Amino acid sequence: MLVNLIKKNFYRDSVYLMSLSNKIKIIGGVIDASVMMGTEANKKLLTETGFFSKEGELACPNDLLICMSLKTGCDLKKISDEIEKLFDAPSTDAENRVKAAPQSVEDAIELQPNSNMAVISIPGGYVKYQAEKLLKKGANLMIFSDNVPVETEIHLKKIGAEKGLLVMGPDCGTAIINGVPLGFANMVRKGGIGIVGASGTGIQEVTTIIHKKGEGITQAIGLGGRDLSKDVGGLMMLEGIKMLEADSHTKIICVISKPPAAEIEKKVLDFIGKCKKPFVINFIGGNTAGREKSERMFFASTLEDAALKAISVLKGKNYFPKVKLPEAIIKDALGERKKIKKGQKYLRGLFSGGTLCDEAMFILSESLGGIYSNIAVKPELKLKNSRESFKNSFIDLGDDEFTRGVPHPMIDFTVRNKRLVQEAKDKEVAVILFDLVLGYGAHPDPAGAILPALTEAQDIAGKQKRYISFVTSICGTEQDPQNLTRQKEILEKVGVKVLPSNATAARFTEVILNG
Amino acid sequence: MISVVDKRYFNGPARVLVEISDFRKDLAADEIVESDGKKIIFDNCLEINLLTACYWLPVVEKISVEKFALALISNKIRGYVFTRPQLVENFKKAVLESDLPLLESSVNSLTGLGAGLTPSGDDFLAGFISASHFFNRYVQFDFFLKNVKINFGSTNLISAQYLKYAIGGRISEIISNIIVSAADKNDDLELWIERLLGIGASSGADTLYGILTAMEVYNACKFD
Repeated sequence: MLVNLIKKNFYRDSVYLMSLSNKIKIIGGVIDASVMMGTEANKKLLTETGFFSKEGELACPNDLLICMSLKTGCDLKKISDEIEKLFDAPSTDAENRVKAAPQSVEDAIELQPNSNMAVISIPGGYVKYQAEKLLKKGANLMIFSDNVPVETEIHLKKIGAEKGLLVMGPDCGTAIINGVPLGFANMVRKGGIGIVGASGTGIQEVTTIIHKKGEGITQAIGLGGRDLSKDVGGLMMLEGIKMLEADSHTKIICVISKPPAAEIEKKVLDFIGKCKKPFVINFIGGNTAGREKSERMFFASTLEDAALKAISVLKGKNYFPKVKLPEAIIKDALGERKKIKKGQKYLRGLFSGGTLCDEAMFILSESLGGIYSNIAVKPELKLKNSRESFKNSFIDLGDDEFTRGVPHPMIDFTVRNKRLVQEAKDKEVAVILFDLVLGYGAHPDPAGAILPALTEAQDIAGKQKRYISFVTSICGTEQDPQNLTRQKEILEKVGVKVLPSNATAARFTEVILNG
Repeated sequence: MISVVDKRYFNGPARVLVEISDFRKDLAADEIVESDGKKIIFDNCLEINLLTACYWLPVVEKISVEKFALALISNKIRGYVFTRPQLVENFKKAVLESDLPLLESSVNSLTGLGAGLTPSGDDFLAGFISASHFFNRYVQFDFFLKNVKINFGSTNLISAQYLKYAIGGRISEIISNIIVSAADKNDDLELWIERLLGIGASSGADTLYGILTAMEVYNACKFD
């Protein structure tokens, strides 16, 4: 049964009208409803859609026309009364709320007065002003922005430390706070391991390995790459440690960073020495041998090592056997070695995660006798031209020189794909090692995005009767939006060797090249 | 007719922005409102002093870019469906070919069409007309603005008022900023699009569709 009701000269905003239409649809006896202004065009439209009845003819453009399809035998009077009640009811908060995005910090706080965490992603020059305002309001900060002067970073971190608030960043890409991934981060299980780190992909790699091994994290606090510099002095590293030390859910604390300035390293280790909880420390690429200062302080050589040691300590096992490649993986690597032709001798690493690039270089540099890179610390190993590889080369494509004016390679594969094809044209290349990062912020289908370049590279090599071994690891979990298994399947289908961690992928490569 | 809205909205024709965001709680429906040009008085319970107000005057810059890049705007309304897409196709054809009878019939069909207090067709037209004022480098837009005639009785008073302002070249800040940012390839474009999309239930998207259509017509025009 079709019924049209008219509400004369009735003006309400569009959000109200949409809400009214939805509320009418759930009144008992109503099958469907449409609420529109009574214009001639709408009458025509409602006729075409089968909602219009002759009572509607009397509606004028300034009237509200309520068109309903009702169940046979329903009580029309009761339905009309219910609709009248809806007109009289005060509008809800949701209807009152301004839908437009808040235009200032004050507006945002007014909309969500209970928020205590703010993510700042604006041009670096404006960060100080907004961050100060937010800190005054008691908000913890994750500052995604880069190009923030170091003086501003120190100033903001001092305010944060005084107030007991986190100032993660500037240039902080990854954090997981109370289970919520911020920036580039993965969906991982909650558990007993707290992480504080000055490395975005480092945190991602450690948290995902912990997750894959069945354990979980409490918080992953990002710091930004400069926190452990001489200037900033580890201000937030110490605050982060303090917070995790005070958190009853955190049973062990994992510290991740590139090797800090010597005096800052001492400051951090002295501070850790006074804490009560056990710590696993990974200064990526730093010297770890024989550094254990107490029974609660364990040093890890790689990100994978840090994750595994943290899990062992959590489980009460403080014995760490040397990480060895399983036989099946060695056999697989030797199989790859056999396919490589004489003259193919070099490795090319194409990374989107800077820390993953660092970790792989650290693992391989000794056995390969020096790796050239755009991020090499040793000047003699620095690539003269980052756009062209030389012998064994590793490229961090997330470095500033590759991301000026274009999206990060975790989001957009254009630059990496071109480079991958370029490397495949080099007849001396035997292995191409790359990373693939899943999670929030990353490309929605990284494996699908790199696939065209992989097949093109394979075609190039195939036509010249060469075989290039493509090796990768996927930093992600089954729970990530891209899904780990799905991504792995896409790559394995075209012959890519997918290893369970970045460190394992590097060791796998070592076997291919050195036997 | 004027709208009184809180400051989180944007400047636009006949719009008074007020500092207090929850002023609506003191107002009842059907409140009688008077104004002597210096003040707006709501049934004696609330007064807005217009003498201390800042006046925002829309500036219509003449755009002279070769082509608009439309990917961002198109992506922002991906999934959006206009009530009657064929009407928009007819309307575009009418403007591009300066076809007066087709223009009249398509404008008549769009006026008052669709959901919302300001029907979708009106919002589309408001977006297209507003953008046209920036584009009179091309004769097609000049023809359109000289010949567009809207039967204001075909829609409600509020929507008719917005259309009258658009025809008169009184353009809202947000629409102006979208067009200028798109022409300048300015990073702010996304921000202004988001703001526009936040208006009403579908009014923002309908208006943006109107702007996008005007840009498509602009890109299809050939400058003599």
